[in-house]
Amino acid sequence: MFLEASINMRRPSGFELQAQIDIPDSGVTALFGPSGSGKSTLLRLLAGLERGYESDEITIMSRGTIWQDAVKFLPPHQRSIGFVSQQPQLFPHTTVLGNLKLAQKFRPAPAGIALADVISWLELESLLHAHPQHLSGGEAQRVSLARALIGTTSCLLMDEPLASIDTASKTVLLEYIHRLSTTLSIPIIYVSHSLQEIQFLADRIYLLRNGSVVSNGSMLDLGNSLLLNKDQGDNAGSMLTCETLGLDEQYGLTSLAIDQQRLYVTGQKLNTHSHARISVPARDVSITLQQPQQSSILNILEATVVDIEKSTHAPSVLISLQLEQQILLARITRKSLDHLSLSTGQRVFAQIKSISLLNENLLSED
Amino acid sequence: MHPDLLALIVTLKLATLVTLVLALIGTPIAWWLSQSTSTARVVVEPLIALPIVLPPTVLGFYFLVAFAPDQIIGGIWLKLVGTPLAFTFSSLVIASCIYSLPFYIQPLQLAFQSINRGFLEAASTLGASPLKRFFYLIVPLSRRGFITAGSLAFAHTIGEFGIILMIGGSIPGETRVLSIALFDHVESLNYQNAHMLALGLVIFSFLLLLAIYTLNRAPQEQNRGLQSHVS
Repeated sequence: MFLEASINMRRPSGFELQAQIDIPDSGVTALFGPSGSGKSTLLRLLAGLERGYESDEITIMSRGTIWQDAVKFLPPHQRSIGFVSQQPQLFPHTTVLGNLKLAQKFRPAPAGIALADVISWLELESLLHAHPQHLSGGEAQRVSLARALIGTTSCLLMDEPLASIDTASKTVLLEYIHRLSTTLSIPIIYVSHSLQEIQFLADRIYLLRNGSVVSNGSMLDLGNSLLLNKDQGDNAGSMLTCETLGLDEQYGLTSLAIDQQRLYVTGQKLNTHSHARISVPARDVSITLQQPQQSSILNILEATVVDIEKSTHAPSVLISLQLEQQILLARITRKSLDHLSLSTGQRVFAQIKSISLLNENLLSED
Repeated sequence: MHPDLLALIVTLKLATLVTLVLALIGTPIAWWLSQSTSTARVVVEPLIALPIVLPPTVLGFYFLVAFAPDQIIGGIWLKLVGTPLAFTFSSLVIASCIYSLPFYIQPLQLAFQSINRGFLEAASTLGASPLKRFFYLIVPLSRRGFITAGSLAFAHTIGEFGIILMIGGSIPGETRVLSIALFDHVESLNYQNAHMLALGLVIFSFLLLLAIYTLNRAPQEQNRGLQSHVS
């Protein structure tokens, strides 16, 4: 275990944060929840940027070293962490390279991540001599990520790193972060309120609401759960892992195997027999009781209804469908639910209108 | 050496020394004032600003009393150094440091307060100790504050008169500074020399202020240039 934390704090404003967190030695652990759930405060406590009040009970241990307890407090600069916040916070009086070199000067760690490595990982060669005020939001955040990695030996903490940049840059940066998470041998703690980001990146999730950990578990168990998705509205959806089978040249479609069933996505140059993550929005999944024989919809999966989330008066419901191993979510109207009289345990067919491949660029490297 | 030239040398020596001493003791005080939430700040801040509002003769009077060999400060000085403090160059340095303290601290405190806390947090998570944060981040980011503070303290010490009149006497080469020399010329109706000194001080002060404003404006224009380039 890389880090074990037990937090019991109370702000003068009345906000309370109670959490037990274990961070394993590798992989991405997500702290996920709506704004005000305490996830950012929790991360800042782990970084040492906040230390709570005297009456709070905070214990943070990392590999046998006490970072914080009732008597001891290790300041952030002695924790050897990398931290990326929502704002890039690039030092304005110097260039991109100057920022990276300052980081190197602050933490001359021969064992940590080297300057040349981060420059090539994050492809910063062309930006090195630019001043921070000349960079776009996405570029600035990329530099901020690079700067945080230099000399880091313990872990990388990220606090909503994509929250204030445009959608196009988000996708690009998300892929950089994903690539890092597979390259780096240090654990990453990732705070976000965006389900897509979490489903794309995380290996484990802590779900926070109103200052408490509501649930935690692996991505596979929790990522597609109703608990996590029920408040997400149109963003609700499932992330599935498939195996790539090959490209059908005649139709320009790539076939994927999910458990024992087959899916098709439009032409992708994918390596066969590698793993692909796909995202399926719940609103694009509809349900039929019989296998449709004459339908334009290609992707139809047989599944079992395992749970139905009926928010009291909402016009739609979220249905959890069990494939062999994985969970697929469907959002249908309450009227349809009554019309089909769906109940748990029932065998149904899920028709999928759209699929997006999440890590298409990364696949060719697998 | 011409007595007025000697006065100029004493004045420049005094102003330089005072600015250096203030950089050493005033900078930490300014930093503390800019960051502290302690209640002591409520008292310390107006205490430091006192020389701005008090007539210099009031301060000079208290210094005169305190520097006497039978008083605490004068007594300690006598024990440590072996000679009396009153009517020496050292007494001018001590008095001027206190007199010019607010002129050094206030611009610097403002500059420190305007530094984005996010930069400092970022630096601490990058492994920068408080000392490294200060020299690699706070100093370059508050460069203008340092320029303004240093030049104001320097210029204000050169312009000092009332306190020096009270505690310094007019010992050539020791405590006779420009403003005192000017006063002496006027008292002895030597208006030609008085004119020379007065005009010299006016021109010097103008040039100094011109330099400060130019130095402080330069990065701003650069920024404006950058912004128009971006848009």
